[in-house]
Amino acid sequence: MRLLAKTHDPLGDPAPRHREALGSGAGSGPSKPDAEVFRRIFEEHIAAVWRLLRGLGVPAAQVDDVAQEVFLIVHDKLGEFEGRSRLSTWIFSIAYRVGANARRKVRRAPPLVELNPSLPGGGVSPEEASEQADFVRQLDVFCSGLSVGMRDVFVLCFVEELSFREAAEVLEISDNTVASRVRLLKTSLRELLAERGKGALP
Amino acid sequence: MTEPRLEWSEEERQALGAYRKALSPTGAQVKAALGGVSATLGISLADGAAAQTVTSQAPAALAPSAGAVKGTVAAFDLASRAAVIKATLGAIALGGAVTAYGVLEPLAPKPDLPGRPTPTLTDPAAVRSRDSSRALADEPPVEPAERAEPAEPVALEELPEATGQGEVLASPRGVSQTGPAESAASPVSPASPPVHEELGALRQAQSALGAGRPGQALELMEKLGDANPGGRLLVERELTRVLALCALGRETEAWIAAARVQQLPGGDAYRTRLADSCVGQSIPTDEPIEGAH
Repeated sequence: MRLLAKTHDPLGDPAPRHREALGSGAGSGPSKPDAEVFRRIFEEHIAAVWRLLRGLGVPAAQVDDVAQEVFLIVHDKLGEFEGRSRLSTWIFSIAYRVGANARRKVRRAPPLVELNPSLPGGGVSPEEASEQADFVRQLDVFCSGLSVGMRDVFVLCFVEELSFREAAEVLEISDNTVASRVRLLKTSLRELLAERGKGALP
Repeated sequence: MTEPRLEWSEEERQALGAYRKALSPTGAQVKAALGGVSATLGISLADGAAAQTVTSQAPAALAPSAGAVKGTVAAFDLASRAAVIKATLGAIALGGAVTAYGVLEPLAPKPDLPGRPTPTLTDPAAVRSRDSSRALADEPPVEPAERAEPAEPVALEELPEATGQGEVLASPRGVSQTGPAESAASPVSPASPPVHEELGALRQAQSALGAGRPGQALELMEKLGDANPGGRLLVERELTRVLALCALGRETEAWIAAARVQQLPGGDAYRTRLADSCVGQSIPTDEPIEGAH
């Protein structure tokens, strides 16, 4: 595990509108969060950030470092979070930008997402587990074959279940663009599910 | 929020849930990342440590900023704050614009009674005591709907009477007699909405909160914030957000909003009210590694 430098580029303001109403406080620089609060934020959001980074195609070996970078920025910027969107959306915005930067640094096309070997979870029969693991691999191939823009929407809307508006805010695109990509993704996923006899999406 | 999200059949949910789990970090990975962040920031974030921020480089966000403290001390102690609210409401009521005097009742600061300890959000002892009783992931996350209970109202009689700083009554914020101290403390911007608009939105939000519809209350406050970032009742607006977020189970965000309340001029008057809300009673329980968002 690499420890990141204490001073780092926070990539600018991920969501300028969050600090519009801070008044003089915004100009004087953000205050840093209480350690306890920050720890809670980390614990609540690390899994989602991790999934997002992996889903975006950040190589598994780099996810730890990139996730740390995300939370260092969150720590730096939390004083500017104005609460005018969900905290999770704000953190996703940061994670997306950091993750997209990391993804761009990967020279070749990102490999398939390296999945946790422990899958699937308990509580299912061996047959179900095998079927589930097989489908997870298919989803992985499906996700990895998507264009960057479609993949981003897939991860945010299908995996993390963000609303169209939240995904649009994170990706800085219109709600309509998200909606049209979701339609295409649903069609593609429906075909995948149909092949497996899993039924159709609504 | 009532935004549409994708809906799935049970089979699809299971399949996507498995994929979600496949992307999730292991406990060891989470610990390693937390350790890395902790070491980089130079603060202890270990579970149960109730760590202190290294104040030389990271002043606590939940403590009022120096400027806010200065402004608060200058013009908005508890009594004068209450006087301003009463005077504003009274003036509006007299003018016939608003007939509901008690619109801010649930927001009225409870007086910090002698002998009653008033925890501060940054009180390490308070944080420790809360934290020590909460083992991570001991409890399943509570669905927001289960927490959406009507906010506890505060009787109007609990508003402290203005004494000593009674002159504030004669010059409430926004009534043109803006002295140096007041202007230093007031968050009112030139683009501030008319106070009756803020009051109207606050009244609606309070009604929604009282009726167990915190999502609607939050949406009202967010719309007001989008349209009018400034205002004369910013503290009350933020406090409403705190209560709504608490009722929705979004406690971390409630903590952040509570910090903002304390940073605003006059926000300190609501310290006890905050302490009675979720930010004073508990810290959100940890979620399963897979379960964020």
